[in-house]
Amino acid sequence: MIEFIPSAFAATFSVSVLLALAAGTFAGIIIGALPGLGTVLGLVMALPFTYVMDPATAIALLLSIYVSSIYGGSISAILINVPGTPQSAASVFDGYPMAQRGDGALALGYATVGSFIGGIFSLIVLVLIAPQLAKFALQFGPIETFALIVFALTTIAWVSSGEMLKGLLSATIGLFLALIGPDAMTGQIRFNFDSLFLSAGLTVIPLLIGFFAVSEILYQAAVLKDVKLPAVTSGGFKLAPWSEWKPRIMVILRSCGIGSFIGVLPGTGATAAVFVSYADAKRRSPNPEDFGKGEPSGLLASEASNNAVSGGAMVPMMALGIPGDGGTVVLMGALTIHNVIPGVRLFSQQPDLVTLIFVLLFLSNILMLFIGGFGANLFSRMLRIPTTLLMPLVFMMSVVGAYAIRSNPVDLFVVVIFGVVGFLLRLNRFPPAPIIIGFVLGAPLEMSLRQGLILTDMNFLAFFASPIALILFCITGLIILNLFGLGNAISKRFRRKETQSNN
Amino acid sequence: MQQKNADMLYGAVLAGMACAMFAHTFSPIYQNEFLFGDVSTVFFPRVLLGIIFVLSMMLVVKGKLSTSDAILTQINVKRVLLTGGATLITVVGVWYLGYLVMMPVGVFLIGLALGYPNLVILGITSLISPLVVWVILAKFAQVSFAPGTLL
Amino acid sequence: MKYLLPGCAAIILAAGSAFAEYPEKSISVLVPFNAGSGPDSSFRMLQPEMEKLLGQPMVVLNVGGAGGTVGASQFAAEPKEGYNLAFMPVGTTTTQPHLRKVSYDDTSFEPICMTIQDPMGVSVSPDAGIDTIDALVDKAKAGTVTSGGPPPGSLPHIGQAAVAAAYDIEFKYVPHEGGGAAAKSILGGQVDVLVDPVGSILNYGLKPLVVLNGERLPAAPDVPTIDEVGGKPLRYSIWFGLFAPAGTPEDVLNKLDEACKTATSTESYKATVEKSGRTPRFMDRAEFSEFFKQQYKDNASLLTAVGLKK
Repeated sequence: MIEFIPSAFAATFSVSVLLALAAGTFAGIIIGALPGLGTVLGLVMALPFTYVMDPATAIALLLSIYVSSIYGGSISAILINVPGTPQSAASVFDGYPMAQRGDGALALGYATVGSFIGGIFSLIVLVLIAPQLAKFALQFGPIETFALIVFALTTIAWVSSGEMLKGLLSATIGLFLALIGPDAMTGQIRFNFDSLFLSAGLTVIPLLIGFFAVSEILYQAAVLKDVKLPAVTSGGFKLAPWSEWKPRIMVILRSCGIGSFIGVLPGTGATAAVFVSYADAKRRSPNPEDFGKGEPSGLLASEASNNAVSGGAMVPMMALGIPGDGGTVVLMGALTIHNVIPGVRLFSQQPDLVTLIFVLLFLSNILMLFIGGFGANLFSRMLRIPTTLLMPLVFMMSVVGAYAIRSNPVDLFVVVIFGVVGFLLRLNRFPPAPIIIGFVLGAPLEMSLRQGLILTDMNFLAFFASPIALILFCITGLIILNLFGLGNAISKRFRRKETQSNN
Repeated sequence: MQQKNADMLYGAVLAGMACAMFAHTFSPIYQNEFLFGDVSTVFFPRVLLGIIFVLSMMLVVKGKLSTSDAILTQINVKRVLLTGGATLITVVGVWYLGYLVMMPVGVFLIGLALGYPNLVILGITSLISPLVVWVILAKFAQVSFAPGTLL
Repeated sequence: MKYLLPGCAAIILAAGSAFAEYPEKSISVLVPFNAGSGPDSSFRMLQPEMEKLLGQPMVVLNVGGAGGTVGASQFAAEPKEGYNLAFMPVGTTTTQPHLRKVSYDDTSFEPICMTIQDPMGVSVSPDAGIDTIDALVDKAKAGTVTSGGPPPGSLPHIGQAAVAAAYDIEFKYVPHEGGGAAAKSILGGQVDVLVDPVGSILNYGLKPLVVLNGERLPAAPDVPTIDEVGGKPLRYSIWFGLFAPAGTPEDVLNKLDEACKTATSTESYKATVEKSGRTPRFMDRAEFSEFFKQQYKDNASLLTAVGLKK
């Protein structure tokens, strides 16, 4: 495929492609930053415009929106405590506290560079080992997927900021909410109480907006003292010195790895990946107590990993024709309409197009890095208006975004109802993130469990027969033991035995 | 309200809701036959509801046993109720009357409830912003907006 | 008196030209599945051609959920002036209504035209060592064979149930989110069989054993039809069609039918559809209406015959 690089680069240096890349990056950042819209909606919006374009321009537009919208979500997460996209849900933990203490520009700098590194890392992975990774992903059948999701659920512990019981409660409620609507295994509609609109179930963006945006609005209503206080006092774009970056290189790389890996496996998306990366970063950090108070490593873990998912999700899409996340579903549909058929035959029959996609992804990430700083500055300025004026506008965007995805009035009401619920929970120190984790993982968890049970004839013990699943279960078990301090107790017991036997 | 009372209250409410839902899972609509080797459609929900019940009872116990006197954050109840009410009215109105009619009203009401002082600026913003968003997204990008009487 | 005839002519002409102005504004087309899905892409392939012919934009409205039933129910209640259409597949319109309580039936819609009909095939993993349908049947008789696909009630599910019934064997069905997820399980070796449109099968890199159709498909010329290998004449395909709510004016329906006929005969449409692995197929209003009503009846008895409905 190397032989196609020159021609791919030549194809990109046409005016329309460069314009599409720039427009897509700019639009993507805005779409990501505006709460309620999100990557999937951004791609759907761009779709009709691509009909009149040639394939290269169309792909350029779509890929640049795909990549930069993931980054854009961090802007509002950092500046106003509202994730612009579900993939930035973990960026509020440390991004917003950083902004509150005056380090907003630094936070945005971290987010931009972190996103860039994530994107490039997963692109390298995609280019080098896409077919092999795809083969490995195939090893993850229902049983292995179930084990992975159980593992991912342990991340709740690290995002519950001390309130473990309430975090578990939130997560379980989130898991349950995911069950409303059609049961994918039988077609039975559950918990819709005869409402046609509820029979479609809930989707993540209205839930996210309700839980983060509307509850934030209500929270501000509850505690705000100064009605003229600007929403954003520290923003802009500033890069931290190298001395701050150097100790965090491993965190970034590990988060990239986690993001790419989870992106490759269909069934768990970016939202799960960022929480796993965040938990991992916190677990390994020398200063875990700073997480949640403005520790840049937390922000980097979240932002590097969510952009790393983008390249990872493209692996099964391109190599197998099976989309890895919500954004790649739309990307695949769009590519199909332009006669680019993802799947096993893509690499063999249209290798020039594959190289073009790689080059365009590369350029999209580069542009995101440069235009990102500009976008961060722009939003920082725009958001200096008073909170009391900004919040109604945030609500407006939330309402627009909630309805736009599937034109279902349930989503409108979910935004308000869960805003109230989120606010009430927040008052009593329930952490908001676990509900989102639970909701995102609920359906795949149940589905993989039941599929596994069918395959093993209701024999759950057979789940441990799979080597991959066994490894994952063991890791999960170790993590849980460690959480309860049992790991320490066991090792203390061993040490005492040793000193006893030495006497 | 004191933290421990809140814990007991929240725990009790959640436990109650879990019970109600659990009872609901026995309703005849879910008594369909299922696939060979699969569990019932209400198996997993019941497991989750059971977990929620246990955890929320633990929360109640935690509240009862708590010795601290910690108070929850001081809140401006009136403003919260006004804002919450404004958001609810907006959403109901958007569905029944349409986005174009209701959103300006909604933005204005919420800004009012939050206490934004300058009504003129609020009024202009609430008229222009929804319209601008609508023109860009609905007309240009063909995004779906709640239709109603005007749209 | 001499003004009577010209007068009548004038009135008729005026009335005719009022009809001839449809469409005067943009048309909303409801797709009861999310953006990027099969039905959605299938319509978007048709969209540019139809827009050119009708001279008005067609705006896609995605209302996904429950196999398309949420969107279809909403569609059945929409205004009938001709500015609200829907693009729906066979499952949503002819099988789902028999399996669950929905607010519509075959009389709720006015079929306009069919645009795609993809015959399905029985497929296995290329590494499974199974080369013919008979080998698969033998394996099923000797042990357990699992089949995967979209949730119960979908055409792939019905298809595999019908194949199993025809050969008097049993497949253990493992539902997945969709055909793609099932294909992944097949490639990974966790599930054995997938019944899906042949084009999709080839895109996933699976091996089709037979085509559930009367004649071989140009996309897979080496794959025998089920008749050829001595099986029962099963015919299963996934089709997509354009619909209007029942009660839409005749002239609007005819105009759309005309546009659909021209649009589906363009080279660019046919090429795009075929390249994606699908099979373009046009049925005009008359033929499609009859076909649709027949399918609605047939699928009801079919569901009972394969044991999916009591």
